[in-house]
Amino acid sequence: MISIKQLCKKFGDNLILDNIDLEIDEGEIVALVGSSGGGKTTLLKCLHGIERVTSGSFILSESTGLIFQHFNLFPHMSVLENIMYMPCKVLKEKKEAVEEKAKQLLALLQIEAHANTYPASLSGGQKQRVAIARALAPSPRILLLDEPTSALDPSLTTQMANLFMTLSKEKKVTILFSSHDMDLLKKAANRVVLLANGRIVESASTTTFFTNPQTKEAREFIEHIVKTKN
Amino acid sequence: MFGLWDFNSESAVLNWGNIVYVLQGIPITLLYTMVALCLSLLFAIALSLLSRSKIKSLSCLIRFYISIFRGTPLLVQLSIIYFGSSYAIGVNLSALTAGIAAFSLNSSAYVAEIIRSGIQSIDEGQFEAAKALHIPVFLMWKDIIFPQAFRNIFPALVNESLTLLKDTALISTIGGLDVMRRASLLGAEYYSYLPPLLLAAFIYYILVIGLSYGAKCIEKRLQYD
Repeated sequence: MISIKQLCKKFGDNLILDNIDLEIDEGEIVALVGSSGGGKTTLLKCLHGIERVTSGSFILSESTGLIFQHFNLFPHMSVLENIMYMPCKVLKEKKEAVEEKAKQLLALLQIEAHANTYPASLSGGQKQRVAIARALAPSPRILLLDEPTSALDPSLTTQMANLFMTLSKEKKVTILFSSHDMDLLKKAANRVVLLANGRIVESASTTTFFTNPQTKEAREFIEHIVKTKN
Repeated sequence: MFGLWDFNSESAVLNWGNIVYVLQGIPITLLYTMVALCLSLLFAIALSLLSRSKIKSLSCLIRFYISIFRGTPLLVQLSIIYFGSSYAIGVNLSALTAGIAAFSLNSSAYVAEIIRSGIQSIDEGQFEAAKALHIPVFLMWKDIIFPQAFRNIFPALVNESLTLLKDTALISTIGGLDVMRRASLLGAEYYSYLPPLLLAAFIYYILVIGLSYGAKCIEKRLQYD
């Protein structure tokens, strides 16, 4: 589970995250929403340890995996090598077992045909799935995803939602993802957390958030989503 | 007129024996080139990594070193090392040692800049991804950053190698018996400089073409898209 207490993050004089308090239970799927520049990516990077917090604290009960919006695959390694690198070289697991697990992940994400392909030859959606497989390879119990469906075509959103629910129900993986994809939110997320100007302005179940938003910011956010869709 | 085509005449400057004599300079030329290239590459990697240090005096020192060796003629550096060694360190360096030292130090300054630009060309996301996967710093540089940087800088490294190959001709000024020196000696012996110098130029040209071809083959193998 994830426990965040009064977390603040500054870049110079710029306050990006302002006293974030958030509790996420094991196996929960939580969506971080908000306009660009609201602090969603920064929060995910702080939780994974890529950025240092300025003040406050957080506790992660398990290891985390982070998936970037821009994939950041290693271009000089094949898909299989990208997935196997960390478990083999960092965790020192046996190559045969890692390879077997990597192939299972590729099959789960329907990209097993591209095991020996290099990232430059993949589509955006394929790269995204490889990035997810790479993050899942060391079996993290907490997955942090930054805009996981930004490069996928809409038909794959359902697949992504199903994957989240499978990981949550069967493997008790806690998932925290940022997204502008309302379809993914509605299909997968148990809870929606709205970030505005670095603060949490609303945190509610997905149904409550969309049917009965409590704050002005949440109402404006939903109106904006509806206008954009129409 | 120049006795250019009389390969069997002992009085011609370019007879078979003399041609072989000049060709025997090729291993010497290649020795200087390869040893200096290896040493300069190792030194340049250290320089480019240390120049990223947060210790300002260290990065300033490295910048100063690079500016000196890029800002002064290689012939001057070679002469200082060869003729100045006995004054500076009380040891008379051989032409081989002084040559390799000068070529390595000079080339490392250029290669360090090439490597620095190669590292800067790597997307910041690669560093973030390595951090996100908890990859230790040493492995990150060895397996993630340097392989990508090497691919990017390979053409520039090849250029520097070819320049180094041609620059080794300067060793003739301090007595190293490379291709250029042997051609010069023949010219002085026969009072006919042009034919042996043209032969030397031809040999360097073939060496450069050969190295360029080898580099192209290696570059093809580095492709991964």
